[in-house]
Amino acid sequence: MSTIDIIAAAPLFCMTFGILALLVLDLFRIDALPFPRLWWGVGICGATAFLFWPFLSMNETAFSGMMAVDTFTFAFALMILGGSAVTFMLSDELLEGQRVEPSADLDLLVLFSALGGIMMVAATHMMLLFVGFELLSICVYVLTGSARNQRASSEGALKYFILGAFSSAFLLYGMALVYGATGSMYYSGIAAHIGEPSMMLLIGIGLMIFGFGFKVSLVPFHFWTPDVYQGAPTSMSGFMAVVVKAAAFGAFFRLMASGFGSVSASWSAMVAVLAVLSMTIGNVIALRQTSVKRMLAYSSIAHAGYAMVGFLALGEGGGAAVVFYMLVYSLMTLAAFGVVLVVSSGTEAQYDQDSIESLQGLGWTHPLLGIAMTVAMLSLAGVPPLGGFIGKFYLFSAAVRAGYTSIAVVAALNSVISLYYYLRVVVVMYFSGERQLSWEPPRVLVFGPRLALILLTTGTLYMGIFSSRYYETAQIAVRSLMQL
Amino acid sequence: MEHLFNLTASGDVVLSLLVFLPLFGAITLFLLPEDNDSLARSVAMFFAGAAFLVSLTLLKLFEVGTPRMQFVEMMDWIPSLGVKYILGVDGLSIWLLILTTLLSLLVIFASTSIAQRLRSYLGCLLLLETGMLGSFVALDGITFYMFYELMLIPMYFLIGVWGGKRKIYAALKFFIYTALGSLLMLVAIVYLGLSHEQQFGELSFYLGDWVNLRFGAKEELLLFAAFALAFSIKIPLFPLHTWLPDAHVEAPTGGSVILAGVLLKLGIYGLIRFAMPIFPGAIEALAPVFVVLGVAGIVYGALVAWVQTDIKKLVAYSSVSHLGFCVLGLAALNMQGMQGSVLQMINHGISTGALFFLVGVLYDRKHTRLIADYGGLAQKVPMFAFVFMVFTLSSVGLPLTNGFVGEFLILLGGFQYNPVAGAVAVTGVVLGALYMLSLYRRVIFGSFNEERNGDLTDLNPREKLVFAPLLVLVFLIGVYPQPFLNRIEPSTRAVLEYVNQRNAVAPSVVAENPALRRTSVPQGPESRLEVVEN
Repeated sequence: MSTIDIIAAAPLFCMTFGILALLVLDLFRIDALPFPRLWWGVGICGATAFLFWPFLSMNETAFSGMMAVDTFTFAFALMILGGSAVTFMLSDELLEGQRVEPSADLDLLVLFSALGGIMMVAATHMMLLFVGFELLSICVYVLTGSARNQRASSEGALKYFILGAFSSAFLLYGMALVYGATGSMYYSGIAAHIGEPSMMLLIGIGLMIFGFGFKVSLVPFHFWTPDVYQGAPTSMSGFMAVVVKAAAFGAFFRLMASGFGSVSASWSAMVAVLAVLSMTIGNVIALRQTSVKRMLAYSSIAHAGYAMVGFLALGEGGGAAVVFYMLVYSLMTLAAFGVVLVVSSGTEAQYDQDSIESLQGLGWTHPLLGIAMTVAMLSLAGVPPLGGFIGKFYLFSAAVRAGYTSIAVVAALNSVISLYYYLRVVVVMYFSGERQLSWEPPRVLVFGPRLALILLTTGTLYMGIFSSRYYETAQIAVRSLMQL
Repeated sequence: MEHLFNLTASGDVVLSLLVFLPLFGAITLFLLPEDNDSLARSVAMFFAGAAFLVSLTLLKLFEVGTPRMQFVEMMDWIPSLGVKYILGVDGLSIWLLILTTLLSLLVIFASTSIAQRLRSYLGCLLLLETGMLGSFVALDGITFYMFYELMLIPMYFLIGVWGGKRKIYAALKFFIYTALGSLLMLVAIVYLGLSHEQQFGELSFYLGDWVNLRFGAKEELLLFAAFALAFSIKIPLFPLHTWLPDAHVEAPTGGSVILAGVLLKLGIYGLIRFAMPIFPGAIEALAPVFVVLGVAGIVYGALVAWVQTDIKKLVAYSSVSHLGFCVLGLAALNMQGMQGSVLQMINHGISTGALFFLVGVLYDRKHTRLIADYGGLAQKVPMFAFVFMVFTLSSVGLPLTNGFVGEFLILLGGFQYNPVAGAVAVTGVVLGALYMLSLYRRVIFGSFNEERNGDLTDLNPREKLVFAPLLVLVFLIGVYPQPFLNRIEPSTRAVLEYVNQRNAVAPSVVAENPALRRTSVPQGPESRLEVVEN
């Protein structure tokens, strides 16, 4: 093992070791631990993130070229770990209301899927990509169904599993065709032997886009998303909307940029169509939703569409825009799910208590929840000076620079549509008088969710005003990718 | 244009101080206890007052007679995309800054009628003030856009939380209408920034760099259309005005005052500041469209105002009419029109702001805004009647009030541009007199209903204090507009000359238009304007 292998392996080992330790502790009485169990999850994520730090200034591959040790891996690994840590914080003592039996299994599954996600984004070899993909997916299927005595949860899990199996099959078949066409599993090898794209290669690329399209829920591969997001326990919906999506986007982008970047002309039309469809259909259907979780599910479809715009402008700053957009998207979406989680965790709450009406008057009775939700909604809608706006600004810039002005216009018009349903949440929280529901979300938030919401909200604001440094890091990350 | 946009940082931070003082106020309010209303109002007064003093200092230090940008601040903001934080003030914006700080202070001072959640109300007003001030001084496209959109959120809350019966509908309509325009403008802003990279090798969103850009005819028209749409919705230009009556009627008094007094001005300001210098060709080509829509707005607004039964709605439609004048003056593309347009923005802010305050006074006491519910108020509340009369006359444009100077200049410009347009606009003045005076007659004269309005009380000291500065301004501008026009003139001249010069290089209609030659001003109380002209 060379030095680079050790550096590359350290965070993964740390995470695996943490997971195993937790597993062993769970065999004994875990309640006797000095800290609440959930904080162990945060600690493991933190330690792993710390070990990822050397990646920031490196641009190499480890394990004989299978794994990238570069800024791109660093950026997405941090998003994945941050998202997981926030998921832990939000779950603090709240799962009770979610009708989920608290057990260490869930923590382990979250950590395992985060590990899978990191492997995906770091992979520069299609086999490692697939292993990561499956590790992530299988854990998430179980997480979706973790509210065992709830029908919606089980239904979501089954749907997700069946459609997810399809997506894995598409991905795998695509890999096989790409391998057949280029003779290499390594991204660098694919790029080197791609030459004039053959029909087999193009079909392979198309199938892989399908596979990823399922995971990042692009239209028309999005049908599972609303049911799964609504059925899963809310903390897991947030995890899926953020961590799974970030991981899938990271891996997708690395594959397209460093594997198929040189033939981008042959797949950009397809990506453009998927982007426009996802934005438009996601936003239009979201208009009619009465459940916040379903609404957020459609909004996440629309945001996947926005992010795809960046794929069209690989060489024109589109990549950095995608990385940055996923970062702010994670912040604001987690905040939104976090508020829904807290609201629906009142003692009397039903499992599916996530109607928009359940937020009525929240802004006045619970200022912190109100502000967090308002900032998240406005940022998702792309209102300055919040992070979501700057993210869109970078994306639009990249699209216009790459000559896709019309797509930028479509995206801008879509933002206007989305304003309507995002603002409806604000309307309900502030404009519709006091709440009329018999139950109340906890008046004093426990430490975990409070900290998480404050961090996410300030993060969203901060990204809106001081984005420059992060965007530059994203630029470096993508530059290293294009050189591979 | 070099003197306008070839900037060097002045080293002052007074503009940043001005812009962010209200924001600090809003943050401070947020940290205060929720239910201590008098403390919240004092804190808000302190910050709004401080901002007003800073703006007065700015006015005092402002150098007259030069179109130069003053108190310039320059900083890199997002270096990787060439976004800079550039602020500066010139004759175009200096009075708008004063208007903004003054009206914000008055609205906060008059916030006693807000029964619920005063702290949040004041916080929204202060946040709004930061957005407005920032928009008036920002010279970088993205910085401008940030401030421009920042105004939306607090205004949305002002209407939605403290508004009337149909507040939710009105708030959403306001937000979505305005955002539709501004998001398309954002795409155009991005396009401009990238065009600068293509043409000059460096990303820039700085207005001074943008004026160097050259486009093909179709490209320029499309880009201009994106800017013009955003600003026309804001103005609001007929037929994009439908959000305005709803927003005005449902907004609380303070919201209406700020909306009419300042927010609408950003449309006109944006056209002069951004659209005209960047797209001189397009503005010249489309000037007839603007003139026609402006005149249509003048007449339409006046006619619709005439038949209103709700006082507030009447004043709202009168805004459509008055802003039509501003558009006409701007699109006439001559000195008188432009100058009148800029001055009329200030005038409209003062008189319509005051009229909304007056409607608020009545509404607070009787909780109705229907004209039919009042009548004969002159005997019961003489002070109110007097104040109402002054602002009615100012709105009508009676000589010796501020309204006259602005409308006169605009009509002058309009006649020079096209006598027909001018003539139609004059009917707008006549209609304006009709509907305002008929409103006054129906509310103040006639028979007094003792049973219904017997308990009406006259203006209290706080309200008198609110109206006092506005009354002074009405007569000051009406009798002695020189100090105002002196500061406005160099800047409007610079913009206009730049537009003409650009269009002269590319052969164009404007160059041969005799209307643009300086003409002497006819006799009358306005003859002193000649001094300004020369």
